[in-house]
Amino acid sequence: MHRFANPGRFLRLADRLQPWLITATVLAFVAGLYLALFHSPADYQQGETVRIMYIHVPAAWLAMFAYCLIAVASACALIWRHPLADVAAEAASPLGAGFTLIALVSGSLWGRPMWGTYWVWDARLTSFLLLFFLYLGHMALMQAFEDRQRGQRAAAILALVGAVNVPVIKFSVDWWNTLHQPASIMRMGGPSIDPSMLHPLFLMAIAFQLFFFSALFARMKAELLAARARTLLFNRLRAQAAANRVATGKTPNRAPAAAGEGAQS
Amino acid sequence: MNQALQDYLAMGGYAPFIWPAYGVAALVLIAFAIDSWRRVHQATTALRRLEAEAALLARPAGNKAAGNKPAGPAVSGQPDRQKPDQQVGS
Repeated sequence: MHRFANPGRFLRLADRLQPWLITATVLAFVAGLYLALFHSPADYQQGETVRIMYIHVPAAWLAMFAYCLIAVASACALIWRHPLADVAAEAASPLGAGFTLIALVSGSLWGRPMWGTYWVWDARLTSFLLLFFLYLGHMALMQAFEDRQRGQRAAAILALVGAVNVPVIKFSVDWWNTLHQPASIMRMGGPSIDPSMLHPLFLMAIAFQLFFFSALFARMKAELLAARARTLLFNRLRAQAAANRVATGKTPNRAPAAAGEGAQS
Repeated sequence: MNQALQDYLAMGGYAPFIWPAYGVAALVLIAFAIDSWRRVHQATTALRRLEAEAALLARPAGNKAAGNKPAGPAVSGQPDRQKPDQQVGS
């Protein structure tokens, strides 16, 4: 794992992986959408609305997966001061918020015809809304300080504290009486869904997962390149300042400032 | 529009719920795809420009240190210009 922790090595690996990831994402979406929208049957109770499941459930899984990834990255960033961990957490946060939004909106649109309401303050829905706010808070904290590092550290602590919400979301349907149905895939005794609906669901989940990683790697790459650009700019400005001092004959009365936030990543 | 297609799009009367759900998902994912690509593109071009400028700036300074030879940026800057492309690694 540490072999890929070096930003330069990560960039090379991501560049090599990216075309394959994007191709696989497109293929998985084409196959998944075909199965979900044309091939799979309507549910005997829910009718055609069951097709909302093929985006609602993968989006909800990814929303929680992205949060777990952020929590692990935040722990690595806080404990080992890992250069890539903060970049990963920052890149994953908006994506996770996006998946949470998809899950909330599609769930609401599914709830209206099936439950008779767009929204209810039951444990699953409320804890999932909390996840959305955690994402927003994480994104806001990242940008909240002039000093990037302080923002990253504050956001990492929020991510770790907020991780307690993940098991609450997962088990909310067991611990409390919820309008939301209990787990039907990841449960003891295997999935309770027919294969004709399970296959499109898994394909869509794979498509969402692949999409997540291609977007994550792209955003991480952009941030690493931007950090390199900041370092270059900083070094140039410092060199120019030194040259100006030589030209004007002034001797520096203090050592040049230490490299700023751009230099460390 | 033929009947079969109309029936399909009606989704058994649930069209107002199913299609917006897919629409929102598509909107969010496409927005992320475009935004992620744009970020990489912008960061890559910005870094290339800075590296090219850094290569040009570094040349005369190096020559001065070597003994005040007249700087020939057009010629001597040439090998350095190859570097940024390799460093960006795209």
